[in-house]
Amino acid sequence: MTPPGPWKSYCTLVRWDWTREMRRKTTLLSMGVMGLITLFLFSFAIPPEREVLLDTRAGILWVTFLFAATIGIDRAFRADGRSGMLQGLLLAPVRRATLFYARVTSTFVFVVGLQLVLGVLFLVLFNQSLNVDGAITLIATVIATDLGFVTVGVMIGAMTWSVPGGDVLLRILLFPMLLPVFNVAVASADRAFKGQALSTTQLLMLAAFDLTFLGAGHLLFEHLVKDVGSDV
Amino acid sequence: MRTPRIAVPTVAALLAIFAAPAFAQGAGNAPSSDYRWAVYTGCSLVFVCILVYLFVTHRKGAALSEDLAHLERRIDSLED
Amino acid sequence: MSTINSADRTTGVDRTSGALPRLGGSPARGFGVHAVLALAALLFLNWLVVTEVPLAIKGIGSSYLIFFYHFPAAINVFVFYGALMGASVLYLKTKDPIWDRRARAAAEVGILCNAVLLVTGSTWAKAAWNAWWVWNDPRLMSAAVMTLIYIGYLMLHGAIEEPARRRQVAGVYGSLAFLNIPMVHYSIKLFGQASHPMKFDALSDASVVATRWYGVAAFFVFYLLIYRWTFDRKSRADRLEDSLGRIRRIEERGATS
Repeated sequence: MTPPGPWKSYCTLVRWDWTREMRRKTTLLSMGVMGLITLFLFSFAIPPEREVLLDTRAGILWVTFLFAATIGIDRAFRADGRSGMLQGLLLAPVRRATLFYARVTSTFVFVVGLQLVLGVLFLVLFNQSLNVDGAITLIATVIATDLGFVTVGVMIGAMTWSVPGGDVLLRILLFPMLLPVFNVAVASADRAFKGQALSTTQLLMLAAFDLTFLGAGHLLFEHLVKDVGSDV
Repeated sequence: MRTPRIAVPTVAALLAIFAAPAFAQGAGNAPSSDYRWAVYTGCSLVFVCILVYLFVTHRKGAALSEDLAHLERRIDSLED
Repeated sequence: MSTINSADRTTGVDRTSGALPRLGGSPARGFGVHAVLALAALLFLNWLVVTEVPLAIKGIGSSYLIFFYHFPAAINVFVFYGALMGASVLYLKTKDPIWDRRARAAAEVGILCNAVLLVTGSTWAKAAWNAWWVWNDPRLMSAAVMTLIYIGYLMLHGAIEEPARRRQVAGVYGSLAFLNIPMVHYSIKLFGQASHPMKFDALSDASVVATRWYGVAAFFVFYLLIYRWTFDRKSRADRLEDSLGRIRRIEERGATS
């Protein structure tokens, strides 16, 4: 029997991640609740008045996204590594890069889905509105940002899952690495709330980040999982 | 993590020395030559102290390396 | 002896150490000469600073003198973080633990340069802009983020117990981390205002330019000395860890037979 081609294994892996996550739902639930809690914290930390929110809304939105999504990224490897699932996967005749892209894709789908829900909640709770241009800008920002965010997150998740207390370490490593995208994402979301169209410079910046780290992940991911099967 | 341990006093000393010229002068006032030489002596003393420290600990480390080599030979003989 | 070691490794017994037959790591030779050179280079730099360059420049007064210690730190930060990346990539390629030790030593010296950079920069900022910290300056922010990223490197390295995996993971992180630095810089440059004093004309004065590049060289000799010193310490620590692992295996073998 010949092993399946990379595209086929990729699809299988993504679908498999999706089914598992939908069956368990714990990660999705914790991500959503964490996001909601962060939104509430902000309503206390920053007076939710119209004028104040004009300057702070983009930042509030992205900090909420970041905290919620990090939970999902953290789980992407910790659960599988701990249960021995990862070791099993590595025995399958799948290229490491395929495994990487599949994990990035499935995490990406969950994170974007979660952010759409949280984004709507934010608009409702903080009494904000978006016009069509703004909505397009925001969605494009979320997609371009999350790709880089998830890529770096999956890499760092693969580094830290086996470490006791690795969830804290993951955040310590991940947040500074994300600073450039976070900075651009907040600026871009600010444009969205002002009803402006997407800025090409900002989109290019996000794309450059995404491509750099996707490329690095493609080359380096195999080194992160090489010894997992035998050593752990 | 010995480096951070020497980094803290080093950085503190550098701060003390370098903060002096930074604060002593208002814009445009050139410092007196006495002051220059005070800065020179201060900076130089900091560097002398750091280098002496590095050298002395390096010598101690060399002695430790010999102990380690001895230990490694003992382990070699146990493994055989 | 070394044959037994490698035999152990192929059977998986010695996997944890992943060590070469002998880790080596005799203390750096010529350290004393290097130290004397570094000292002479730095004292000469101090001498240049108090005699050869203008003692005060228009606008920021003599506070700019700190620049001759600040600028070399800025350049050497990139030298050592760059070396960290190079060593990490080479570790992943060769799996020789010496590259991991080089990477770690470069990380510690890089963080030291980074601390000097931030402290001198912050002091200068207080004198020149009357604020210790400015949030929208790309250089300040990239320097701060670099510190966080590389402290993360040391934390990651310290957190993983198993030596081979630790080196492997740190190698990947060390390769990734450097990619982020231009990103941080440009992303802040996009929105921040460069309030950095590089734009002062007096800083392109011939004597100032010559002194600051001499300073880069002098401080490089100095930081390289600290690098060698750190590398020695790492080697001893690794050799000790390796020896302990071997003793433990001997004990286990004794217990089973």
